[in-house]
Amino acid sequence: MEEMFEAKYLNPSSIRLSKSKNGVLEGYVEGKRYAHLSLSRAFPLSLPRQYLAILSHEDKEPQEVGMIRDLDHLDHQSKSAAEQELQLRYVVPTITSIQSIKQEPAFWRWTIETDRGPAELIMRNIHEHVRVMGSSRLILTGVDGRRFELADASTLDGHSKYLLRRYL
Amino acid sequence: MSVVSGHRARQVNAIGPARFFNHELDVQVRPELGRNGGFALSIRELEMDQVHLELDHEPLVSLRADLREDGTFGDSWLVISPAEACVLSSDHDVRIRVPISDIREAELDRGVGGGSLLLKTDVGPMVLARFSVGLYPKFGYAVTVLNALTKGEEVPLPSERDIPQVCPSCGRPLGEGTSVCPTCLDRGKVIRRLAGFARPYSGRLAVGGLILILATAFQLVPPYVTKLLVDNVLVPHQSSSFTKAVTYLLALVLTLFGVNLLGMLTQSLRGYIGVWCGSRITGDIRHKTYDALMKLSLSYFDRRQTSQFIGRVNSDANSMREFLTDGVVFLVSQILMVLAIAGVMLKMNWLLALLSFATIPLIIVASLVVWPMVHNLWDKQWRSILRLNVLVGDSLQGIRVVKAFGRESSEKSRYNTANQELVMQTTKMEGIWQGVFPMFAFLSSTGGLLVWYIGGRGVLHGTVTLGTLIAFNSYLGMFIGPLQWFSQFMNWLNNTLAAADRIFEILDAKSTVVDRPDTPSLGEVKGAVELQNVTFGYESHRPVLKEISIDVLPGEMIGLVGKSGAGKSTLINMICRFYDPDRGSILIDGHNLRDIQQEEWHKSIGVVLQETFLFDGTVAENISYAYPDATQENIMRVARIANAHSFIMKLPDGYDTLVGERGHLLSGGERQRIAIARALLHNPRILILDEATASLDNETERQIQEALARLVKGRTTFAIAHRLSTLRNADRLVVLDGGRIAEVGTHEELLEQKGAYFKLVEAQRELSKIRGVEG
Ligand SMILES: Nc1ncnc2c1ncn2[C@@H]1O[C@H](COP(=O)(O)OP(=O)(O)O)[C@@H](O)[C@H]1O
Ligand SMILES: [Mg+2]
Repeated sequence: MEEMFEAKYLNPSSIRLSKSKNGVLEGYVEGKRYAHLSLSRAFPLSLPRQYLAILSHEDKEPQEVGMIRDLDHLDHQSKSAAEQELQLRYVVPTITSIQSIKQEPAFWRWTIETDRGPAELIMRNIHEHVRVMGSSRLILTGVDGRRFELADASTLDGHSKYLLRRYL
Repeated sequence: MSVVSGHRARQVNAIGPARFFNHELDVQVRPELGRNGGFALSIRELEMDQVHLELDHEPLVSLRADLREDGTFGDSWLVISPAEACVLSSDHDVRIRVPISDIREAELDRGVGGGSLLLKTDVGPMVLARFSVGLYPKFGYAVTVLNALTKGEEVPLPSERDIPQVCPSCGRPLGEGTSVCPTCLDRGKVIRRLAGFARPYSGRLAVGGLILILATAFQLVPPYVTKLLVDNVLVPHQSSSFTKAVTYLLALVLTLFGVNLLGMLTQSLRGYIGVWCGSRITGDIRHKTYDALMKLSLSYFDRRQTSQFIGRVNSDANSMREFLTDGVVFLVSQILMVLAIAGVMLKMNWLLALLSFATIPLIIVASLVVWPMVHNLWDKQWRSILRLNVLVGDSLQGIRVVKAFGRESSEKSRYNTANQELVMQTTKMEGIWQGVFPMFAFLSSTGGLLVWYIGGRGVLHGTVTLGTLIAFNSYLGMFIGPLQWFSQFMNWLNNTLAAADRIFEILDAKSTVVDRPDTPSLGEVKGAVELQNVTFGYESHRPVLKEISIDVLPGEMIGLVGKSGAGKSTLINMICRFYDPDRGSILIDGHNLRDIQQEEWHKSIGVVLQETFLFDGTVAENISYAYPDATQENIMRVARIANAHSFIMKLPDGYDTLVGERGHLLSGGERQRIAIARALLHNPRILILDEATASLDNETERQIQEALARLVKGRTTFAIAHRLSTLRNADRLVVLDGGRIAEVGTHEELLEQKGAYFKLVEAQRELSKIRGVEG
């Protein structure tokens, strides 16, 4: 019973991750080969690169193989495979600039530039769709459920900052 | 590919306008001939003529995915034909082709904000497409199609729920469960419909309108009389005698008095008519909305978004009333006023009039600039207040936890931060507010100065009379007043239309569980319940119940067991007909449940749920909820059966004790027993108990068990219980696992089988050993 509650922190040198030609994360953990793995963040907002669970999908239900304390402890190839996997599992583009914020009847339409390309974000209102984290970090959620992150409002260009100040 | 057309075809969305709005949403839905001869939907987003893809069959589905392999935004296409699944790049190059025969299973892998369509194949897992969360419903359908193909089953047609709901004319996303697009909303139509609520009172409103015109006219008179007063009386004339002048003066002053008096009377009369009609209109709106809400099926209330709307019914109805009474009055009176004043001014002195109009554009521009600013600030202030309220509500509700952990000081500082924020926003908001009116006053007085100067010169030259000049200044003030509000009025109109629309949406919502019109009465219910291949999901692409078949005899007690989330409550929801099955049917005494009047059916079943809800009212009223004319003796009889009588008698007010949200605090077990009595009162043939005894202490549970044992006698019973031991005397146990029936049998039979039930019992035994109590 006991060990069920103890997290199993994996030795980073026992982990080899790579991406299969079919687009799936695979690799070796403690000498065992897994054909289908995934990563899950314990603190996706506050510690995106620490405390990642490695899950194996061999069975019907995903099973936790163990935890990685820090992504940076992994070897170079595993790290980049893991980063890629996270990028695909956490599709939360970072806003790099705000082109416009327009209010239409019953909608707010944000035209934004993100690290993954341009996007348009539709919100029904501000108070349900914008979550303020800390001093200048925002999580924005569109009506379709897509999430965007504004890591640090103070690093944006003047126009974007003006728009944010005006509406938020 | 041609579009099959037909008058019953539903063209959910055409490709053209959808492109306008974020190509995220260019779902093209073609009406096609469905299996049952009716028209159904299919999802094809790719024009196959433009693609060099040799397929043996017509594609069943083609979908756009929106994420590249490196996680950036970019399109690719998934095409599924009966023989294979293909992925095309954005330039329509074929990237992946997988024969259906190679696929073991398809799966929607949901991440955060995005996910992938995953195939399990003989050579290992493979990702077919990656997409952001908005496309989940469509790809969920693709998964269903792929799995049907691999199993050789018939491919289901997509339901409307699989297709992101977008406005057919502009392509903007629609709110869940609504078909009105706020942007494309036909304003004229909404206003006409809104006006419909005023129709029953049209007589009075017409009188009100007439009085309004009179009131406006009366407002116009005083400046004109002032002019006469100055020109004809105060400015000395050689011709008129002193006494004549005094008489004239008295007459004018009396006229002014009369006009003011009439003005006051008309104003208050109009106000009274407004209030009279307004309160009735609001009442009508609320009444109709509530009626419509009660008629809707449960699935409507499952959606969070809509339950929010419902809380707003009152405020929405209010803003509709405000608009219908005050708003229309405001608009009409102000327009009348502006026109009339402009007319009078032009008539008196056209040159001076044109001069005074010179500042109008300035005022309109200022109003267009200032109001949106005020609006933004107001919004910000409102959000700060909301945050503060949430914070206070949070910490006060959890005050025990706050105190227990000694977190008072951190709560205080949290509050302080939010409070400072609000202070800042309020300062800004009120600051601007304080600036707005002086600014408008300044603008209009500037216009007045121009009139003073030019008009004053006219007076000196003798081309303009002094009275005209004075009257002009009064009129100018009255004229500019309404102008500064006009852009506000547009805002008001928009808000009202949105409010009206939310109400109309509720009025227009269709119940998904409907009674057939000509259903015969069921008569005496015997209590045989048969489920035939019942499949159901709250979301169509995720069935919660899968092909459930059981035949329950009248009077039989069925225990439903299974892990949490196995679908037990859902099965009961089906029997209660809170939802209709997606496939399969439920038969009651051989009649399809769909053919039974819901009201009649709900009178034949008694339901006790885990969360007992007591309405505001007395204990007696709560027990007799479904049968308000039950006798006192009957109420006490069922209370005794439910083991509730003795505790009720201990209450000082007995059966007259007020309970409910604001009433006497009853313990969970007491509430539960009242709910059982309530379910018993109408002597139902079929009894449904969903975790009726969960989370109660052992003694209370024993009492309720006793009550239940009396209850189930001779009735068909479906019982779900957290503690398996309480179902030991069920005639049969049905074990659900992942929405399917895993096992059926008596307690002893199932224990012997050592299957799923055995495992559940073992797990509970473990648990009770740890807890040190008998399970
Ligand atoms: N109103 C609902 N809308 C969407 N999903 C629901 C709803 N109610 C239940 N579900 C889902 O259906 C599944 C079965 O739920 P339920 O029948 O309540 O299980 P249980 O066996 O614990 O009573 C669960 O996965 C649950 O999340
Ligand atoms: Mg349940």
